[in-house]
Amino acid sequence: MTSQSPKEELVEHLPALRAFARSLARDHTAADDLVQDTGVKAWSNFDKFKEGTNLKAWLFTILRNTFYSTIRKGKWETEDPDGVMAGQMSVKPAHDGVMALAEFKDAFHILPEDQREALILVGASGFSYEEAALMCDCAVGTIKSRVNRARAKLTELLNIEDGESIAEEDAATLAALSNNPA
Amino acid sequence: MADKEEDKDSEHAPVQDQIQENLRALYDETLSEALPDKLLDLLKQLESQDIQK
Repeated sequence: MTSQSPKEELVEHLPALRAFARSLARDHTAADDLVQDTGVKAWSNFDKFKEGTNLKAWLFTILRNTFYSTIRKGKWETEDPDGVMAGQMSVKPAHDGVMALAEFKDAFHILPEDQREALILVGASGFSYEEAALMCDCAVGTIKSRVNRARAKLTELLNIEDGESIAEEDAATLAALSNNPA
Repeated sequence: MADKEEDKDSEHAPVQDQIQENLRALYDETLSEALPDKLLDLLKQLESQDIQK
């Protein structure tokens, strides 16, 4: 097993950092700026990183702290305060029940940032609820609640109803069968 | 406690599966992109600063 230093390992985490940054920042340029700032901060603080602990989680924490401190400085607008995007969302999923990724992205970015980050950390980045709670400096229950609220909101925004696609398919199948007796 | 959350999710499995698939696709889309030169240049710059120290 090769043992890499955290500095050598940093480059391997850059794609994941970019994916996380894009879930927080609204545009790709701002996301890459965020990753760049994270890289610089991490580099100058590697002496504080505890070897043997989770480097990815450490880097993600730096990125989210950088993001929130940038927002506090009023540098970025990240929310949808006037509900402009939300008002444009009335998209039904495609007829086969599979929602288009572009529609999903629009809906995802309407969510508040704390819900977006919880969803990405737990649902896509592979962190446990416990790890996400540590990174977000909150209780595990808070992360679970944010994830549940985010999923419920996405369901609402994307007009998905439970069993919708399945029910439609079943109805079509039943109709076809009744018109075509064996 | 985690089981309860999972039970809750499983009641809405088809919808949650769609959301999960899209979330993963959204994330993986960026993972599969090549890193921009700007970031690679930054790393080189940081490494060279270390060497000079």
